[in-house]
Amino acid sequence: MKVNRVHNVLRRAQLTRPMASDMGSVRKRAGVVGVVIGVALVAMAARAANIGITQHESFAERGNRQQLRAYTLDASRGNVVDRNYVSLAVNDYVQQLVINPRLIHGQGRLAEVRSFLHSVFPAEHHDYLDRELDPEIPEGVDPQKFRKAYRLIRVSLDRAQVDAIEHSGLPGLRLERQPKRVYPRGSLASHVLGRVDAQGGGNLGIELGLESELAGRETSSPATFASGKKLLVDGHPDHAIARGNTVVMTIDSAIQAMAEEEIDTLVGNWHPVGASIVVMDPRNGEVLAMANRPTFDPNHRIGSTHQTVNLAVQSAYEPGSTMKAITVAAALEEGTIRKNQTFFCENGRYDYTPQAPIRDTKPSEWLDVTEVLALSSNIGTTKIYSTLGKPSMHRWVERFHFGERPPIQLPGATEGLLADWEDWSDIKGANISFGQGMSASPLQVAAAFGTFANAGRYNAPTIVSRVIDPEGEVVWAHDPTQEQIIRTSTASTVLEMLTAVVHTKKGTGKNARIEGYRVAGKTSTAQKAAPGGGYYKDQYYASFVGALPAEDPRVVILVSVDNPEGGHYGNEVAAPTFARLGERVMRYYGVARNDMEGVAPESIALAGDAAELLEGFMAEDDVEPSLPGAGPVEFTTGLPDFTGLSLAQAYDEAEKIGIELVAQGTGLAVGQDTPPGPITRGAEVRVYFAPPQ
Amino acid sequence: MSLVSRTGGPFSRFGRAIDWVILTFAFGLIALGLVNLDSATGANFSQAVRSQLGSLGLGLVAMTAAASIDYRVYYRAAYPIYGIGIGLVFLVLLVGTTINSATRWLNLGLFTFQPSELAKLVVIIGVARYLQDIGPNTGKLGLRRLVPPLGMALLPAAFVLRQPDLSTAIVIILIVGVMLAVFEMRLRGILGGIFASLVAFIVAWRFVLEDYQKERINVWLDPEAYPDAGGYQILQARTAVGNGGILGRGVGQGTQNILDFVPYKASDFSFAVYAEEWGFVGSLMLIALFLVLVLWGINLASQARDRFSAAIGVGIAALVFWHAVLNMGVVLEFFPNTGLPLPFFSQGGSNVLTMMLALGVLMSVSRSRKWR
Repeated sequence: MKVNRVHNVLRRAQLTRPMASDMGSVRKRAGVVGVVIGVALVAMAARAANIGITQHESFAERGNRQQLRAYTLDASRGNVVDRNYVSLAVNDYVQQLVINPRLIHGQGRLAEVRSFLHSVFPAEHHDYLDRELDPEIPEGVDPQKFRKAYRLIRVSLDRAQVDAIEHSGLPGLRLERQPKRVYPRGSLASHVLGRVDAQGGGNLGIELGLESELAGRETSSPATFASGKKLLVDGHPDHAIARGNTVVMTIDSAIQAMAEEEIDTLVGNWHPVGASIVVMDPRNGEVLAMANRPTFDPNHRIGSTHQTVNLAVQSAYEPGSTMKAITVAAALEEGTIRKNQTFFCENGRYDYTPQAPIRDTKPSEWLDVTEVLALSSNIGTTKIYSTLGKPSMHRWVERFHFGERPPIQLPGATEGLLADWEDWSDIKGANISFGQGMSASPLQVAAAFGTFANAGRYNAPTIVSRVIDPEGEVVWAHDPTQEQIIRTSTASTVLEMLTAVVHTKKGTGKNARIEGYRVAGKTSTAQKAAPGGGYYKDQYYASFVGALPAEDPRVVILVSVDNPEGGHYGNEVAAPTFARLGERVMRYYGVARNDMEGVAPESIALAGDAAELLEGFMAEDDVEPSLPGAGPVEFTTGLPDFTGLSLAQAYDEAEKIGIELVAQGTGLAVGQDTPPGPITRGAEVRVYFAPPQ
Repeated sequence: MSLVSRTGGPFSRFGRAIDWVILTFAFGLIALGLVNLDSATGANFSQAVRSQLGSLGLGLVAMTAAASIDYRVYYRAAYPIYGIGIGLVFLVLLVGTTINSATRWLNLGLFTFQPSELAKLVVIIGVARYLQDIGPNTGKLGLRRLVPPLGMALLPAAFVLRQPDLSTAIVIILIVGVMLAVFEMRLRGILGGIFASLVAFIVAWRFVLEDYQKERINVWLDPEAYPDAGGYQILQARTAVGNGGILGRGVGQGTQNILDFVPYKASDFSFAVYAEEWGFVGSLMLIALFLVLVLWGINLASQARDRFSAAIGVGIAALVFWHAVLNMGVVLEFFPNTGLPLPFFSQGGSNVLTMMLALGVLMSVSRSRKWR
């Protein structure tokens, strides 16, 4: 029945069928509409073909252009590391304060902001902050227009300051992340490392010297960009291409730290105008440490440019008696002297030219070559020089690379002063033979001295071991020059002679002795040349350069002190620092001690010097030209060398310095169980005596 | 029973309810549309794809139901259906949900619905009934006969315009225009209609169109000159089409798509994504699918036994045609940006539901023709 009802409904709803003619016309028009629709859709297809096929190239290019664009990689500076890859200079980000003086003034909050900043920053920065906050407004200028909306405060912030500024709630104060070059070891090796300027470019030291290696290059790299300039992560360009190279220094941070400590001690004792320590490996010319005073911390603002001068490289001094070793080496090499030849030393005054007598501090008669060096006789050296003559002397000084800029990678390296031999007066030639009348940097001296410690081969000094690109490839590596400039035998002869400077009783460098190691070195005490000619009466330049252990030198250490107060001899001022530093370096390197050498240093007979034996190591002299008022300096602490003393003299000496002397044998002293040098009061020292031959 | 067993076979009962041409081509479009939507929304079976699948499921039920109903029921219920549809559109003006300053949606709790989509279908049914009732034109001039159907189109168009949604209003008028062109107008009338449209456009330009609507037209005329006002978007969409070339970049490989350069790529510009990844060959295939579907509707109309079913056929063909043309035509530089959805490609449940409902009604009509 239900079905019937539905059928009824449909029957009643039966639609009237149109006349055939009408449906015919509908069909006709429907056909027309169908054709129109077909045409419309074909037009769509045609247009799609036009865009997709005909214009495909240009649209694809258009798409690529916006998807693949140059991504600018910010330059990032390469790191500087020490020889063991300890970071010395790295990139980091720091928070820096940015103020908006215009806003602060506009809101009338100046007083509030100022007092807040004064509470946050130490007093030393207050003036600087006030200048930035409230600059002086020139006449006739709209103050609000003159005030800037952005001032970066160049003061590094600590965490507490950052927190305080963050939570101050004051207007116009903002923190900004700024890239910053950071020197994690502070002032360690600061002169070597240098620093970067506000723009991030190298400004001093290796940062400037190897700027081209370290500086990253802002680089464009094609990268896939999504709409809205979002860089897609999987298409991220390699940042390495914008990074500078890593510079591996020859510096050893451990040795550098020792040098920094020792130079601080030295400065504390002698208050010099300047001081330098250079530690070099003579076997390859690598500078292991280079410390200077005054110094600076490259992480902070520098007080004065005076602090940033790398005295060891940039300053030239008269090298003084160190040159005597070179004079001797030259004469031996030329065969103009024999090593056991003796020279008459004129009892301390030698009228080499009538106007300019050459003097020795300690008058002597006949000295052999070793003694000339040990006693640092200017007269003896002059006589040795006389066997060479000016041209030959000049050639030899040049051969040791004086008067020539060392190829070190640090900026401002001086070449020193060395006049052409044709311009030398007679006295000047003599002066140069003992290190006056020319000048050289401590680095030049250390490198030249290294020749004796490296079997006669000169190595040009280097401060850079290698340069490594961001992919880890070595792009440059140091290659020692190993230039044979004197014969190996000559080098070892001179080195042996130089041990006499330290290890003999008359030697001028006895303060450089190191317990357990033999030292070959040379003291120097030069009067400082005054600008405009002549010499300062009371300003000296004291230094000590030595190699150790003498049998097979591992390091050359140079200590130089510019104008010390309260003393001026190289042995007095520089040698103790050499000894302390040398001992630490030997311990650091684990070089085996050779105590017998220390106990019984090679003795040289100094004829007719019995009366002076008493002075032991206490009288030091090594000054050229002869210095007015140069007397022996009191040296009250330390164990003397007893060698050659009688039993009674030895006891007197022991009593004077307050130690217990245990005598063994009879006659004159020939050895002792504790080598000369610093010793605690009340210590027991065994001294060996033997009958004189 | 006797009605059923005539064709036989396992799908006989269902098979009689279904127009296999419509079903095949509709499912072709649905499949392509789903693949494309997935590609346009990150190729990770995103929420958009899942919700589109939900709408398609609902649409399938609606299509089956609509196809099962005898077309005479639509005739009988035509005016109530029209009334309810228009009522819903009017309701939007009162309690509609506003998104992006356009009030187009009714919040039905679980989901929101866009009555203006449904309005397109109910206007077709309403006008079809009118065209059946009034019978063939025997007089010379039938202008007065055009007033009621135009009114039936203009009423919802006016409501939709208030939302504001100019494109949907125009599409309603265009659909009815096609229906009237087939049933009422002579060539003169059609030319007159086009002239009237031009006049209407000029009047609208001066007095009706909002600035943003005028801007769309300006942008269409010269996209490069209005980069900020949507010209950039159209250029990007067009670049995608051009980038596709002949064979396309491959699904999920279109750079304009995956790098987000194509704007509104899940809705208005889904065709750009498709064209980039499927290339000209794919576009041709898509246009062919639409063409067959639309021409099949026209074919059904020409085989119809009465004016009502013929009008339904023409109307639904016009519905599909105008959406396809007005959406793809934007990317292909034929029209200013309309914002009309591409059937089965653009994300949006109301459109999916309306389209499948319409295809269901078309299937019902298709069944009627076999009774001749």
